[in-house]
Amino acid sequence: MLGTLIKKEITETILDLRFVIATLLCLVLIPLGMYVSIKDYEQRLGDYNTAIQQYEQRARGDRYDGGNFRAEGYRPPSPLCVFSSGLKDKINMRVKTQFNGNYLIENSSQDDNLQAVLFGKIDFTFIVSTVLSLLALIFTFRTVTGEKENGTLRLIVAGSVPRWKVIFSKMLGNYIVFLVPFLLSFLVSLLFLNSSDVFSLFTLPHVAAIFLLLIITLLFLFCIFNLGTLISVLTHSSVVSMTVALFVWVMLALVVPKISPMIAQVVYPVRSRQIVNTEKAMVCAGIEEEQLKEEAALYKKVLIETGVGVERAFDDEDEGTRRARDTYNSKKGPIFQKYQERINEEIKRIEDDYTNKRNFQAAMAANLSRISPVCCFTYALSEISGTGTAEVSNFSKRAQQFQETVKQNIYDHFEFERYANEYGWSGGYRTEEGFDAGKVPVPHISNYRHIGLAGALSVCWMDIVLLVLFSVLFFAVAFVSFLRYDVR
Amino acid sequence: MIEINELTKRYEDGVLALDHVSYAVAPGEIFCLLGANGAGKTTTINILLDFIPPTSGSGTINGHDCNKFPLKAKKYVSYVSENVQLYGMFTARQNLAFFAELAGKTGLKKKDYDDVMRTVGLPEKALRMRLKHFSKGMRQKLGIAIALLKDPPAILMDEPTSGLDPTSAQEFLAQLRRLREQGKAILMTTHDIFRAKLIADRVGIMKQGRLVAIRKKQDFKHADLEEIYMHEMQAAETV
Amino acid sequence: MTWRVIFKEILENLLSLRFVLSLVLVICLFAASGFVFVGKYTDQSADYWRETNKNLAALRERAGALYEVAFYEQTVWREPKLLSLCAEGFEKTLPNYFRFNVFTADLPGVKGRGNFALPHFSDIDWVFIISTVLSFVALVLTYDSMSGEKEAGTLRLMLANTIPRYKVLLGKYFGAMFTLAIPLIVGLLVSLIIVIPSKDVTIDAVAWLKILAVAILSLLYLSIFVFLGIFISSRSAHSSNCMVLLLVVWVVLVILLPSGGRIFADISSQSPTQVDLERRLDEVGKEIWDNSDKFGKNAGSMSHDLSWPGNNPPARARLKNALTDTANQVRDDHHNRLLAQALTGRNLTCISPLAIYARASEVIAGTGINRCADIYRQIKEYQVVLKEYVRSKDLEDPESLHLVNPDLGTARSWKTISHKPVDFGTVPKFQERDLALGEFLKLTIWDIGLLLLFNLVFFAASFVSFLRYDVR
Repeated sequence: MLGTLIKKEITETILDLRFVIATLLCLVLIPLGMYVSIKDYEQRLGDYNTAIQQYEQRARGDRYDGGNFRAEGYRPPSPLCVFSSGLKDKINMRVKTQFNGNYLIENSSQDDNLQAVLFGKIDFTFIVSTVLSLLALIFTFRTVTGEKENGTLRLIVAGSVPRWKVIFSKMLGNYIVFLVPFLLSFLVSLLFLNSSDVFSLFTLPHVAAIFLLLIITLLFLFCIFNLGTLISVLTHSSVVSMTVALFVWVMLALVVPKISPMIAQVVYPVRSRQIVNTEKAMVCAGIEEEQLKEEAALYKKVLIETGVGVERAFDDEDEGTRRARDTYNSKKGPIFQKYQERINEEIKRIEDDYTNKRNFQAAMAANLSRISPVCCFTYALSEISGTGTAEVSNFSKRAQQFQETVKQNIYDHFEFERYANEYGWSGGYRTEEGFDAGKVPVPHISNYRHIGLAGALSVCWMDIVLLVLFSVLFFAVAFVSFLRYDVR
Repeated sequence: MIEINELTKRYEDGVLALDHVSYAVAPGEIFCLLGANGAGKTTTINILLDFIPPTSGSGTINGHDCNKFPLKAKKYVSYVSENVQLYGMFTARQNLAFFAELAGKTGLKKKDYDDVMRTVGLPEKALRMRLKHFSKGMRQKLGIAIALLKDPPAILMDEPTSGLDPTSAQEFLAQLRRLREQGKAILMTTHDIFRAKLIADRVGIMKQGRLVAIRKKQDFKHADLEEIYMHEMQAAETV
Repeated sequence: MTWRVIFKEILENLLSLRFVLSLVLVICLFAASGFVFVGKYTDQSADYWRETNKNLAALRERAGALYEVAFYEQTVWREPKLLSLCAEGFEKTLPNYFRFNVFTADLPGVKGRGNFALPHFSDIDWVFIISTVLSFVALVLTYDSMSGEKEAGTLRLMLANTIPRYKVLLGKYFGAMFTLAIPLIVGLLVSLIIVIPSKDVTIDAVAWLKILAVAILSLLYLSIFVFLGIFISSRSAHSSNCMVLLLVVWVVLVILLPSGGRIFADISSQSPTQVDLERRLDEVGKEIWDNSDKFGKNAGSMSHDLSWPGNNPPARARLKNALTDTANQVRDDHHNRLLAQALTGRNLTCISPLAIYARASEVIAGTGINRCADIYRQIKEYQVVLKEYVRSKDLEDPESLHLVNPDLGTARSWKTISHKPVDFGTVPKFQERDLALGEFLKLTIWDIGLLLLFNLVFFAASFVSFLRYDVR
């Protein structure tokens, strides 16, 4: 009997205009979106490679000149960003290391992205969360009210069919039918993906991630189907259920996602990355000024003590000045140490503070918006695709490591000799004895690993759980309500 | 008042809904059109109201061609439709007022509404009730009230007694009699042979688009209209 | 008689659940937009004034020597616009600061305020509420305007009277428009009521006019969707089919087509990249250096010691000017190509009424990419004015070589530009200008025309469709 009911639901839906439209939309939009995303990824990869090349060229020349050399690390775009563009346009893609230990994380994509700025992104996530969710509601909003108006609901329930079978068959039948065009289009987009040169689909981490993405998408669609059925059960006429379904969609897919970041920004404003970089630079400059003053005072003292004379502070080297400078260099160690530690501390403090605040605000916005399954879905997919906050943290950590590595390999091999007085300073970088900068390869962030499945899941497990909860909730309420539904 | 002249209608899919039908309804006369589903009864009314154009022939109301000068013709007719939901969120009075004003009857007072409600047998307090709370019979009566408010010389009715309970149907027939006394020409389609016998001055029997017989009241007053109907239907088959 | 139908439509809509839900939703959204705007605007204004005053203060210091005025790298920030309440125009992501001196201008840059981790989704301004939510509401109100009345049987009843069909159509249209005007106007008022009391906000007469213009434009835009709803409603006898069709059309027009601009832009031309720019700059620079003798003997070499015989200051000045001028041209060209491509892409999306409406609103509100391009243009004009000022002031100083050129080193050592102080009050300062009202009209006339065209097309479609609609 359940089978008969499900078969009826399937047949009824297939013969409906809505099914035709849904199939057309899926088959056109999902592969199209995938195609655009692939082109986008290819361009980003191209940009990344070009940026690295340019950096190499610059660095080859510069690395001999301690004063000019800054090692830079670049983040390759996450391959799975074809599924969810997430934060990818704003995500930091480069770290600039510095001698004094201050490293800057910045967005290396320049203003050639005027277009990216002006136009939204039609990626897989967007299509599913906006268009397919609307379709899902259209499929289900009159599943009960329509039958009530036709009079067929009375007929079915008048027979010896238990009500739970009726509602169950409705939930399953509609969903199964919808899955067919969806899975078909998903397959087509995977084919596009496979035929792209830059993407190797069949590597294990990718396959696992894509599989997980698919599961989450199916879960999300199931959730919305249940929601539609719930709306149909709670109302008694098609017009009302349609109105309610449409408004629910506007709230969940359009309003909540936009309002929650706004509310979070108002309630808990956070400075931007640029401002933090500026602050770090300012604080470092301030500390360096102090350092300069102390060094100047020490140098002056040494010049006087050695009898060289303050006016010869910056003169060319001869025996006298050489002696003064050597004395000075042997004494400046502690000063240098002290300030270096201070700089490291301050940078860490600012960076940590910023990270905490930023994460808090993002968490607040995210939590506010998790009332909508659309947002849960978007976050989950974005994390798994490597374009979410988990990947940002991942890169930050790697950036810090990179700074430390470069410091060990290169920066520490340069001596910064500086002779200061109250009007200014003169000096520069001198290579350590025996160190040939030319032999050290240009530093890169090598073997960069995007955030793995485990890392992503640890951040978005909440969203997946919520999707499950929502599905169960909608299902349960619809189920119970239908048992007492007035079929007349 | 209402004239049907060689009216023919063939639909795009080839179905012949009306086949050279001719008759007239005079003022003060009730003409009932009987026939099976798809016989062409509703098509006749749809053509008279210019909802669809005829293939050939014409219908006139008060001398005005219904399809060449529809707006002129419609001035003289009102329409009682089958199964009308009306505006559910409006009260009975709002529904009446709207259609009355469309009909050109402005300046109606509360008394007019009360009168018409009484005439069709609805309680006056129903004026303030929203249509979605009306039962089917009440809605049917309100439909008639809408037609009455216009007060035209001709009335077209499409299955007006379908779904009415016996008491309401009786009241409805009484109403028709009063209208006939006022000199109105009434064209009514129906399946209800029993009530057609009670009220009609003339009966037209349609089968598959053709008017196969017209009988006057005296012909069926003492006879079984149903038998006559069945007989005519069979006779039409052999032709 | 049409008025009868209009009143009936308005009353029917007001009593319906969908209207109540729409009204509540729209009012909440407008209120939210107002609140957020006030907070944002206060911060942005504070930032803007701080930075601008810093810039001016530094310029004042530099007035101690004319050449410093010329070489000072001014940073001009984009003034936060009050009317970004109406149309934000991607304010957060478009360039908001411009750095330049008298000789060269960098390409515009972005220094953002927001937390990049936040917006997976972007902000709510009036244009979003009206173009997305209200257009949706328009469809929800009209999807069953014909098919619903047909199903209820009241369409037959209406047409059994002497009312001609086109009057019914007009009655439906105006009824829906008046109904839609209610949440629109109430929402706008709510938003304004929230914004006006803020101390940073002053709305002058011109601003009010612009707000009115945006309101009228919005009605023109919504009218398209009302006609669309009526048109599709008279294509089918079943309301639910009409709704499904309308939803699909809405998704395509409002969500997909505007986003699809990227695809169109990519197809139409290749995007010029930073790499291209730098390569080109290198090329032209090298070419000029290689032919430096064209500018005069020894133009290619110099020493800071003016007495060195190998120096040829006029030639050197010509060389330097040539270098900067060509570099500027290359940069301008790059900038123009970027702009052109973005604008072309945008133009191609104008198959969608939303894109047209958004574009026109941005022009009226003075936000968006057009404004950025305009400020860049104004800066270029200012550069010319300032250069003229430097040149004329320089001529007054007999000690200067009167060779205004972009080399700071020789300006210091050779005194190619006067070192005398100037009165800060006479130095031209950059002031951002709004477009004149006539300019606005010129820019938006096409968009208004397009919106009217859409209206006409859908009106004609619904007219023809309803006249032949089977009402039985």
